Amino acid sequence: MKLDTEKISGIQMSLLLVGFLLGSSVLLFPGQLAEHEAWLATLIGLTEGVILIFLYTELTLRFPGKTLVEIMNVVYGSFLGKIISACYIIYFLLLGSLVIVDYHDFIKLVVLPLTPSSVVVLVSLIVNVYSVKKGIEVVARCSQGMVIIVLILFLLITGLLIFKVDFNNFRPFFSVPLSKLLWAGHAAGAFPYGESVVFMMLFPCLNKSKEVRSWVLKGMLLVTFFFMLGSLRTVGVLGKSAQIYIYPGFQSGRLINVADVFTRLEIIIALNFLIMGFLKGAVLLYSTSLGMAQLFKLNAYQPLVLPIGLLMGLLALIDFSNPLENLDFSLYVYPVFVFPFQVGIPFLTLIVASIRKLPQGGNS
Amino acid sequence: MKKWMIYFGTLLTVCLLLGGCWDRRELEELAFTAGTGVDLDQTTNQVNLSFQIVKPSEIKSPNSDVGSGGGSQAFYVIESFGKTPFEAVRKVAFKNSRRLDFTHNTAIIFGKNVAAAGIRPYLDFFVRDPEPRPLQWILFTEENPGAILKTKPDLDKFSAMTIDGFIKNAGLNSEINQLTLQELVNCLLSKTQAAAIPVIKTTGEDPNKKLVMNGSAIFKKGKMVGKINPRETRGLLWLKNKVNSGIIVISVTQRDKVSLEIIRASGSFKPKRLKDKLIMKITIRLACNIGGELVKADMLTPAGIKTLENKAKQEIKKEIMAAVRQARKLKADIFGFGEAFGIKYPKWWKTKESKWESIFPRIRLVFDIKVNIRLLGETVKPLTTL
Repeated sequence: MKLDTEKISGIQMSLLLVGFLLGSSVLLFPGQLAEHEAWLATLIGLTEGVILIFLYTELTLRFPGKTLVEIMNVVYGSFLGKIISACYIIYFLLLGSLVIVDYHDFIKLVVLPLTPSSVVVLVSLIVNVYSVKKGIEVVARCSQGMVIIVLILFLLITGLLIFKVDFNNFRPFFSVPLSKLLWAGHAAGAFPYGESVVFMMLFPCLNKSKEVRSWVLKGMLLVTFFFMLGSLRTVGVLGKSAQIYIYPGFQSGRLINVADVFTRLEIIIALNFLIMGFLKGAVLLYSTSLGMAQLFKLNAYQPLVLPIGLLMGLLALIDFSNPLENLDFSLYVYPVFVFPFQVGIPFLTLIVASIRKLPQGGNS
Repeated sequence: MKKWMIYFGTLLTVCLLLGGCWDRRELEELAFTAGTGVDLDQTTNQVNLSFQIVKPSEIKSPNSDVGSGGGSQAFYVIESFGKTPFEAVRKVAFKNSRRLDFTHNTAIIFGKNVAAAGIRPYLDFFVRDPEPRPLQWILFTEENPGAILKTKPDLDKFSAMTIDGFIKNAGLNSEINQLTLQELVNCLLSKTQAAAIPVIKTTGEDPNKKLVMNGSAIFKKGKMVGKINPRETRGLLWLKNKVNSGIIVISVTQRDKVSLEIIRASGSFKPKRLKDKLIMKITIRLACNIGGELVKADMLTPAGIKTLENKAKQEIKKEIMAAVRQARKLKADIFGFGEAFGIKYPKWWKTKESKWESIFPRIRLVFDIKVNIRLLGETVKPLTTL
């Protein structure tokens, strides 16, 4: 197919992954359920993420130049493959709408409480649709600048809060019940690490397709460093109250006070979230559109971007009736809901592919 | 060139559109609160909120006679009643032409009635709403919080600034427990930790009432259980490692006194458990200067300094014990001993957590205090006839 002639470099892929994973997690740090041991849960999530990345890249290396949708077609045949692909596209669409929901909830709460939801959603969509229409190369190039700025700001915020960290907030170590810790770890594995399954739509764009694994792993380790920093900062500064706030990461930023001069800097965290949310939304919009185009064997995905974007926006408006539902969903339902998409199907695909000795068998 | 102009024109148009939106709030439409008082009206059982609202026009004029009685005040106070704090906040709109804005609120003052009823339900609004900052000061008063806000300060433009100054300078004496909303929230979330909220009161007659800080009020699970005086508050601050500076007055004889100025201080405590015997090891390290002495006999000899150091040790121990005695009496763990035991003995703690109130007073204290006198100031002899 001629759909993905765009090429992005390894470092762009890495940074795009960083931006994608950092996305909503700037505010809701991963492993939140594990209370003061969120950092440990993050590590469990990372382990899960690394295993999954090996799985995804194994598939991509096996079928070079093929996206997830095309791989499904090859492995399961055109009928079953299409059904599975359709499920994936719906998942991407839903995930995209969830990102927009997070975006919207946050902006409504903190910045623009009176602005109608539809306006907030529409405005965030315009940027996404525009950039994705211009192609994934554009998004990737954006990520190169944006992610680096965000990471620097992230370090700045953490640096300003470092003297407020109370190490007693992390103690006693290993006191969270194991089942809770593992669940929190898995929740972190599902959101955000496992969401990198979306990148199977992007892997064929990499200019040096053989190096895909190393670049993706580099991105994942980099983002884990920032996750750890974020959760250590948030829990260290907020202590017990990290559990009562809806956006603990944001709340920790409100405690910045350096000599009464550097105060009210939490807006930087909001900025980080908005930038990363844009990248995440763009990647998901691109993947959904591209997947849809490949599913129906279209020549270009660009005409689909606007309608799918609007669909995402509409879905975002009806997803949840309040942020609490969103929180509950992402902590307790989502980790189970996404299991087949993130683990089950890719794993099954690999097994089926090796049993059928694909791709040597047939190049349909 | 033409294309460039079109781009530029479009950008300018966009700027015009971005200027306004649903959430614009013009400065002249807002009433910024500087301090908020929370109390309960006992007869109607309604929340009584009082807001100190700043008049921006009075603040910026440089020639306004600062704080002199009469003249135009830079603030006014509005009281409002409601079934909940939020209702009371909104009902201000009946009395005030501008909408309240809490983003610059510096202090929340709780009154006596609300303290007796429990502050939790009344605090929730200030934590939940995105406007109030988590770094504002929490205070308690036995008078009407509105009266505290109404006092006219001498130096500052409005009393919330004075309160802010009091608390920011708490380090000079270390007898005020600086407490932010964020810290109070953490205290309330803890099962055992009690909060010590600084107490403010007024002195003098009505037109010339002045504000004074006076010790702390102890809040257990959001309800006030008692008060401690400034000296006991410093005893508490030693353990919380919040002592910055301050004066320790030592009586050498009945009439002769030496004042030591604290330069550096650090305090910590370590829990220890021997079966059911609980021991808290308290470590205080202190460097101080001699700030002044009224001693006939010369204490400024190497041996005299040693004596002073020992006396200072005793004095600190007394201060701490005074605080501990009060805390024991009130069965309120203001120091966070419970949390410390919980960190060190998590399993044992789970069984004792609910009974902590009765266990806490039985903790034995072991002191390890080191005092070091460093500087003597500009003189090496007292002002006695040579």
